Amino acid sequence: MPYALEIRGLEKRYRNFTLGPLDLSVPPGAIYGFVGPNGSGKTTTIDLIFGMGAKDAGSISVLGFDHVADEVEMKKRVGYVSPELNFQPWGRVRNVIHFVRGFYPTWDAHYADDLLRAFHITPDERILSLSFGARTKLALVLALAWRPPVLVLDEPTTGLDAISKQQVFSELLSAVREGDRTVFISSHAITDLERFADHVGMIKHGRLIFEGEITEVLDRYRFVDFTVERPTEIELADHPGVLVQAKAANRWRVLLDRSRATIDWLKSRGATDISDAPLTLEELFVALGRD
Amino acid sequence: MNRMLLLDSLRRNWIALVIQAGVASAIWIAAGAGLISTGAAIAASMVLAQLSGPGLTIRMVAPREVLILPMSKAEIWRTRLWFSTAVVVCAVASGKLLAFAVSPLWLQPAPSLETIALSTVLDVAYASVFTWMFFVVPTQRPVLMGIGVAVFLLSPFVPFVLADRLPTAWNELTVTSISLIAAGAVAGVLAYAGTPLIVTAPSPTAGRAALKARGRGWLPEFPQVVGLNRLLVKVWSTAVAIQVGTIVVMPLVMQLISGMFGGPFDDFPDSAREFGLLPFAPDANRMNGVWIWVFANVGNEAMRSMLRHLRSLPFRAWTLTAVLMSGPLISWINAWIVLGLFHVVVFGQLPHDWRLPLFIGYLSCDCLVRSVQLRWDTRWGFPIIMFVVLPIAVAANRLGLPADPLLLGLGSLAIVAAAWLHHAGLTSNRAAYARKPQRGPFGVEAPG
Repeated sequence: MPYALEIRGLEKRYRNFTLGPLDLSVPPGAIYGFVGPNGSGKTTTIDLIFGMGAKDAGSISVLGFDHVADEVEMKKRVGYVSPELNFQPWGRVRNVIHFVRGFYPTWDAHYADDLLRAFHITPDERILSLSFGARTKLALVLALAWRPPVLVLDEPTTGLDAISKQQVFSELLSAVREGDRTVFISSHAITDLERFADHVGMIKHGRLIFEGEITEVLDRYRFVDFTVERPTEIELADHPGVLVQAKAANRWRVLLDRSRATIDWLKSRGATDISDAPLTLEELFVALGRD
Repeated sequence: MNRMLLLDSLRRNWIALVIQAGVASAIWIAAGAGLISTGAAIAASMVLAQLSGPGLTIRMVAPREVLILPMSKAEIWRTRLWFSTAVVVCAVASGKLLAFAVSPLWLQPAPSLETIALSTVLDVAYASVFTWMFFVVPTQRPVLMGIGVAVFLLSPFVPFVLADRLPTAWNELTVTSISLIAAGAVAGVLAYAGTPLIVTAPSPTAGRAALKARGRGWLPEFPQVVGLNRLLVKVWSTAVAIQVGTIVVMPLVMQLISGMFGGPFDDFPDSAREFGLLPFAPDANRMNGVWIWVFANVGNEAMRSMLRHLRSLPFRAWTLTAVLMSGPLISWINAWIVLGLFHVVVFGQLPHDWRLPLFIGYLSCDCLVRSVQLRWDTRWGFPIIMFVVLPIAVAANRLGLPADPLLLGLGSLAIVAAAWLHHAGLTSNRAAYARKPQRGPFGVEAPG
């Protein structure tokens, strides 16, 4: 069975930023959180999926469809949400709904009405009078109402208050529970993602740092505190899998990637009084995202 | 007035001001050479000052980024007022002075300093009237607002209607013209003394709340029209509304103004002909192509602003190219039909010549301008295309080449090139999908 979204060797070069080479695999039915600091290449990646800009190298396929050669077939299966979408020229909510439903034979009018009600949007409202958050919710309604097998969401919770965020995530969850739907979501709401997503990938400076099931990823990393009598900081800082987070006198805190370095190795370097602790996704994000 | 805010506006808009000065300079050189009348040059200056002055203020007056700065709202307003009258008029005046300085270099008569000074006074007066209108237009009363907007939209045409009656020297000033200048001065003082609602609005979301309160709207919904058809119908209905409205209102109002001030038009067809609205008549004003461009080139901006959404919908880039190019096609076809019907109404018969080559010429220019904007994400699409088209037109004229086959041939080629550029822009230019800040006349940038 093909991946819901598969990116191989994707590259896009700008004057002051290069995305990739990027490899990314989203299994079918996964809720994949795509995280990374600002300017790391998340939106560029998503834009390239939809052909907004040309890639310099690599391939992108969605449910086995190439994003350029099978563009139409791919887009018939992918719903897209972004706060950058502009529906204002349509005037009122109902007009943009009439426009979008024409493209999707699977459009479910009752479901669309339910979603509008849940998000407190009325079809007669002027789009200009909607708040920023309500416009994002409208984009979500337009993407969910035809029940696409894959949803690509670019920062859907930007500008939403805590209640609205909860609402958006719970609607997404119920949409996913209904069928074998895949969600690829780029977001800075890491705490919410940790509860909602089952897979995560992190990008930094255009390169993927890690990806996998959230439980596995969180199990892989540990905060480790220890004491060293003789400073061996150069060796520690250079060792793959060890990222120094803080040090005070001879007491150290490092982020340990247990797939590349072990506590036994630390002991062999003279570390004593060792304690380790699991991380939350947000702590991992901050630890790895920091330059 | 706040010096830093004024300097910020200057820094952001100096290119636009240079362009305005350049345009003014070209107009006054043309007037010196006798290509246009001095009255027309004065009228053009007034329009330039008014469009880039108060027209610019509309966009810039009080964005949130400026409202949060530690200064009073009156101070913000007065800074904007200074910029949109004094600075803009100075830019236009410097263009006139440049014309005065360079005209003798190629031994042609220069406009007189007296005319330039008088013209600058008229520029200030005209710009001041429309700055004062900010106190009337942005109210929450739809009728007043509608009148204000209509007056503002018609304002560029009024000086041209009165061009032959505008004073060109101090001794030509009449009681009427002195009264109008005085009215401009009073309006300017009133505008400076007050602070309009647009700045003092109690909440930045007040406008949104007012929109919410207006109910469900009265236009029919047509729920059966969906998908791309709905998009194209939207483009078409916008073009119909604007073009039919323009063709009814514009000659009528021009005729009214002409009647009030004893202007140049004898009758309704005369004023319509003057503004290029009778292009199929044998005695059509062939020089008035700009008005046809303004008249026909409407209804398509929405598609460009929705590009990100359109690109995510299930059709190919080539299909989207066709959709984007069918927008101008619809607008121009509709314009030709409306102009043809207008011809029937005025003359009681169908046009003998529908001027297809001219149609192809206009359409190809429109498509090319849009394609250049999309491919390179530039706001200079129109000047770039004019830079290409004008030398070809001049060369063809000098060589005595027949215009119609040239328009048909080159126009068709240009449409193909525009399609190719559209596709290239859609597939390779990511910046085309970014939200664009609103810009004023001549690409003036709003702060923030």
